[in-house]
Amino acid sequence: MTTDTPIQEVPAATAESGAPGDDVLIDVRNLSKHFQISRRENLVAVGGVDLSIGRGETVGLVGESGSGKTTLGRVMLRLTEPTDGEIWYGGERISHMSGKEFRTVRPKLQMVFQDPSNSLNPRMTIRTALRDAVRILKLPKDEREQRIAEVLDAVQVSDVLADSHPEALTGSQQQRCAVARSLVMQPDLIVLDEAVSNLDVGGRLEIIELLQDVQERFGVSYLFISHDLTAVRSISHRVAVMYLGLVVEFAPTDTIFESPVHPYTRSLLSAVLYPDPDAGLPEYVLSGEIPSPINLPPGCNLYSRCPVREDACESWDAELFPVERGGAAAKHTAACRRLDDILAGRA
Amino acid sequence: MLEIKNLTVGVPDDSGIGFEAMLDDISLSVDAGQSVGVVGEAGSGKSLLVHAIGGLLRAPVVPFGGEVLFEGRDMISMSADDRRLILGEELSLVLPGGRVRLNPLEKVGRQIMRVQRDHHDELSKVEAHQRAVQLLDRVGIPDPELRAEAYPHELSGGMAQRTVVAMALANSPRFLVADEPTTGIDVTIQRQILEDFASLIREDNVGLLIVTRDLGIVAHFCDRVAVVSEGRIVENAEVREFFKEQKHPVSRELMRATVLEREKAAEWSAAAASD
Repeated sequence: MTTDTPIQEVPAATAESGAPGDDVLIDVRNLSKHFQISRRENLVAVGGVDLSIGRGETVGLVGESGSGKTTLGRVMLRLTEPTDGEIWYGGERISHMSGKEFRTVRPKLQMVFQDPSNSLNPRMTIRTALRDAVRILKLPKDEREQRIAEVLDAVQVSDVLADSHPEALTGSQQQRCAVARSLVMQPDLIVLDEAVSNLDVGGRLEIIELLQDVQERFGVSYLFISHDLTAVRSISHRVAVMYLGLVVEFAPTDTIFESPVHPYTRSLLSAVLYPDPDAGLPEYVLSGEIPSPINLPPGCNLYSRCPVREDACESWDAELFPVERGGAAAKHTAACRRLDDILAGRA
Repeated sequence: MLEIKNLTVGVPDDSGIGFEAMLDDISLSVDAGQSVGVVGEAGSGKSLLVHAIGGLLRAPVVPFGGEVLFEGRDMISMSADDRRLILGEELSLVLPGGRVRLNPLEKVGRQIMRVQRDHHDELSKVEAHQRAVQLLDRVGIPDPELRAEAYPHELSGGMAQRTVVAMALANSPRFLVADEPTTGIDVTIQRQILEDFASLIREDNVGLLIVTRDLGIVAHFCDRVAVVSEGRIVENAEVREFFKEQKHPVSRELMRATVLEREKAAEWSAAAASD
């Protein structure tokens, strides 16, 4: 990095102390998840991630297999416990709460899965499933029924559908119901893990629009995890790109798609096939294969495949650096040693 | 190479004499060295077409007329034994769903070896194993020697689907019928697999029928496109012509939805940027 400009503070706090500001709903600091497969094999699924999600905001999380995006979503909700780092939610460090304490927080953090059968009990009608979900809140009957009616209205599921079993519904209808099931808990955050990936284009458009309406109506935040870049672009305010367990670039959506800087982001975007035979197939830029996530060597994870690598990159410890200079706290960060060269067009 | 002639497939109706067509008078042909994309919304019948080609129709869904000729031989009316000689050897199917296509009780390397040795009993276990590892590598699976020893449940969804593709390619088939072969696979690997198919088509004169919902794949990897709606082919055109102008309302709607998705995405991100 050049020394003539002041270093900007990366907005997500890196110090492991202190609650984040009021607009921040979820703040994840240096979060890691390792799996010790055997005595000598350690798989780093998530390797030290800083991420924040604001109230009423959608953060898109993109990456390919092995990027750690699904694991990050699961760890954030403590569906699986982190190995290291902190998760802050509403001013509290939920990563370090006891199981009992966390259980009171959990209803506010919901998840919608790729396959609706992971959210919907096939033996219950939708309405019964919603009643079953709110049982834990011990609401009085009228309040419960009113909340269910409100939620079904918000996801535009008719009474006929609500009184059916999941198998009678189409894929996108099932996903509407899966969203309803998470909404009925009045969550602050919904993690959507490949929630539109099984749907065709019509279904995707429907669900994305639904999610946008729900966000406007209820102010809920989303972590939208997907490998589908178009879907991510349609709903996210900011996008984080992950590769082998680390966030390699984080910026407002438009910036990621219009002016990405990290070599991995660029190659990901160039692999998208546009429905235009004359558009030309861009050369896809990454060479080789994704290395094994088991016992990853230190240094930049992209080194073996990077089109702009230099020898020194092999031992460079990845860290997110701000991309712009001057003005307010950096909104665009990228983890590349050659950032300056890339911005100057030298790489 | 593959010629589908007036294929009609359906279920018998309540009258006992009539039937309800699920595929209605389908005619489509794919030459050697040609790639034809089959597109349509969910429920249009495109996957059923793949099942029919592979002789995988099961009661009550039965063929009511027409033929599926692979190099002149009718896949529908041939005996199961004859079909078994062809499938996996000269003509391979890639079906979607990844892990469900694999035997959960057998290591994936063994499954790829089995496909080879079923058709080539002259192959030794060592040779078949080597080729299995090569095939896993070819479809972009890291640590292929290690992964060959894994059971399907130990693989991610994307890897399982790639293994299915590897199995289809095991005996160097002359024709591939692929139903959503890259759904659930990373874009960069998808690109790799499609480029692999493209070079097979170009260099080895392999024929490809690919069912997909992704018009991007059709645009870059197909010569022709057939649009299926409610069991019928409503349009069959050369790809460049199709993208310039679609003739049938269903085709136009499909194109419109695809373009709309991209436009909405760009609109949203631009609006979010100005907030």
